[in-house]
This record gives sequence, C-alpha cells and structure tokens, in this order.
Amino acid sequence: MTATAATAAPSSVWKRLSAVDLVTVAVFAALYRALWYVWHAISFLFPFNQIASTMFYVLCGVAAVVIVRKLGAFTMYAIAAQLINLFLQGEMFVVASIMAAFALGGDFYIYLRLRAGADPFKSLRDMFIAGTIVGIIWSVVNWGYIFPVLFMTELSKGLYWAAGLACAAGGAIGAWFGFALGNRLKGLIS
Amino acid sequence: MAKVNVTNFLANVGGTSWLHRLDPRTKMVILLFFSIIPLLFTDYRFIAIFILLSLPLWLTAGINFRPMVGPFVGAGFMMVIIFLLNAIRGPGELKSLDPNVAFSWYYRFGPIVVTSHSLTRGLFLAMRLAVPLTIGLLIIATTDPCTIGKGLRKLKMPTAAVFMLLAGLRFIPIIMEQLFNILDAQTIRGVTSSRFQRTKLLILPLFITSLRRTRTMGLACEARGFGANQWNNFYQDFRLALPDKLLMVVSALLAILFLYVRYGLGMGLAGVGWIK
Repeated sequence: MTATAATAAPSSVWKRLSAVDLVTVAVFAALYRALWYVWHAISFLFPFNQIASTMFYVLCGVAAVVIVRKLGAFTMYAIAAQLINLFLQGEMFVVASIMAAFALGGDFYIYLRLRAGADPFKSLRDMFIAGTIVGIIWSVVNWGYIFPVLFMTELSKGLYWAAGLACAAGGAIGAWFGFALGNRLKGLIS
Repeated sequence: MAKVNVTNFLANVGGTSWLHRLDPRTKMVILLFFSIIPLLFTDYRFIAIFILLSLPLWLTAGINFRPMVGPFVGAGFMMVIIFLLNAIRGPGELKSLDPNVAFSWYYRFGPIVVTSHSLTRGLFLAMRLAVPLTIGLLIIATTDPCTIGKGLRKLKMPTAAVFMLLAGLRFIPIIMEQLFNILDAQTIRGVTSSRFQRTKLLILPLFITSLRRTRTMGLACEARGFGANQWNNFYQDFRLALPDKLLMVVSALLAILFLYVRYGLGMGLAGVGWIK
C-alpha cells in the first residue's frame, strides 16, 4: 500500500449514517425481536434460549452491517435492539444499558480494519471476526455478570462455562450466516 | 405457532389517568428509580417495600389488564424459571458448610433437594426481578411510543437513536404481519410441519419483504432533509406540571433515603448464598 493510500484511509473511515441506513439497522433490530417468537416456538427455554438469542443477534447485526457498510452500524443496531427490548418488553434498564454496549467491540475491530485500509464489509473473514467478538462479549458479560449477579441465577460453574461457550459458538455461527445473508439481501433489495 | 400480537398492550396508551398524562421525562425518572434502587438490596422485606411503592401506580393508572396478559405471562415465566433455578438444588446443598446456605428443613426427591434457604432465596430473587420488569411494562403501557421518543429528545438523546427506536417500534407489527403471512403461505403450500424446516424457509423471505417495505420510509426521510435540522420542537407542549414536579421530588427523596439506608446504615442486606 502506498503512503498516500494509508494516510487517506482514516478520513474516509467515518461516514454519516443516513435515514435509510438507520431504518435498515432498525429493521434488523426489529427482525431480531420478531425472531424471538420463532425460536420460542422451537421450544428454546430461558436461560438456554440465550444460545439461540446470541446466534440470531449476531446474524441480524452482521447482515445489517454488510448492507449498510458504514462504521458504527453495529453499535447503532445494538442500541436499537436494546431500546426495543426496553420499551417493548420492559427489560430491566440496567441490563438493557449494558447490552447496548456489546457491539462496540465489533465496531472497534471494523474501525481498525478500515484504518488499515481494508474493506471489512466485503470480507467474510473480517465480518466473521467482528461478529464473533460481539458474540464473545455477549457471552462473557451475560454469563459472567448479568446472570450470576443481576439475575442471581445460581448454576454450577460447569453449566456456566458450557452455556458461555455455546453462546460464543452461536455468535460465531451467526456471524458466518449473517455475512452470507447480508450479501444476498444487498443484491436483492437494491 | 400462536399468533401473538406483541402490540396488544399498547391498547392502553390512549388512557386519561394521571399516570397517562405525566410528562415522559417524569416517567423516565420513575423507570430509573424502580430499575436501579431495588437491585441494591438483597433483603426480601426491602423488595416488598418497592413492590408496595409501585402498587399505587398500577392501581390508579386506569389500565385494562386484559391486553397485557401476554407481557405479564412472559415476565411471570421468567420469574418462575429464576425461582426454580434457585430453589431446586442438588444433594451437595445438604453438605455445604457455608453459613449463608444454612437451612432449618429440607425435602429430598431423588437428586433434587429443596431447603428452607433455597426456597426463600428463590422467592426473593423472583420478587427482586418483579419490580423492574413490571414497572417497565407500566411505563410503556401508559405512554405513546411517539411521546417516549419526544421525551427522550427533550432529555438530549441523539436524534438517530430516537429515530431508530420509533422506527423499530413501528416496524415490529409490520414484520409480525409478514411473519404470519409467510407461515400461512407455507401451510397452504403444504410445507412440512417440522418447525426447524419452516424456520429455515421463513428467514430469507421475511428479511427481504420487511426490508423492501420499510426502506421506503428511510428514503422519504432523506427526501425531507433528515438530519439537516435538530428535532427539538414539537407541536405538543412538554411542560412539567405540578404532579410531575412532585413525583420527581418524591423519587429523588426516596432514592436518597434508600441509598442512606443501604450504605449509611448498612441495612437491606441478607445472605442469599451466591451474592453476599
């Protein structure tokens, strides 16, 4: 890469999210909420529905980012999902606030890749890593703090580890499928 | 899959009770108070105080509870699961030397053990969740989502976040309608009754139809110069009336009082095993 390209990259990292982008992100957040009813129908029960929840959360998030292709889309998606969670379901305010920050890790990775001059939105590897980071953060915070401390759910440590690892794996699978879905949808809606 | 109308409980937003007429900012203060302060206590008697404090709000809000059955069942189900996960223990509970899990009686059904302590703890933890979960339902049931959005703007929340909240809430009924249309179409076409297969076939058409239907709204907003102006002025007059000011003052005083009781006097803590 030339020095000019490397120095030019940071200026193009930040792009304003247009109304269409915000609507797209909001639709994916709403789709994630609607999919709750689908996986409840497939009999995933709390707290183990969190594995399906992580997968669909990351799937919808990565698909939204692949369509919008702008930095910050992942975080906006997380904020939209938690605002819907808060005002539609009556989620605990503290939990919703924590969960709204989950996607910052994914956006930070995307930021680093953009700063490096890459186009992470077209790369399966980058989107997979970004989605997996979000899945891992979700898993660690959910099973390391929210369930044992806020919900005071006392499970054995082995079960916590198993659920945490399953959630992280769910996030990685969601990232993989989310990229494929986002690419396919981008072609179909434009 | 049952046709769950997720927006049924919004049927209450048109009410005229004093709670309906409160400024959205006051409702945010109530939401924050009941969402944060109860989490600081681990003594069930203090949790009972918060439940008692929230009762007058429920009883005077003039709410029709029939449309709220769905959300209540959801919250109740979560509380039951939390109760069961904490109340039902293994045989190791009987051998524990931890003084925080001491019990006066126990029942044993094969590998399942329920002790006086695990039962009390399960009840406490379910009660503890009841306060923030139900107060959230009360606030959203008595407030038009648009008013919530405007209130959040008044609280200086970024326009993009408020826009996404309103768009998301607006789109959920549309997406649910699409979801059930696709499921009906699958039934008519004789798609296998396997729930997994139906879900697999559902996702792509659901995403495409939802995106196509909703992106028009984004284009319309862009055409009208979205983001060119700050969204700060509304035709509705947002002024804090006397009940708003009174409630805010009472909430602040109660918050200070509970913080003093919890951290100043060191009360409100009880050993619940996991968190001490």
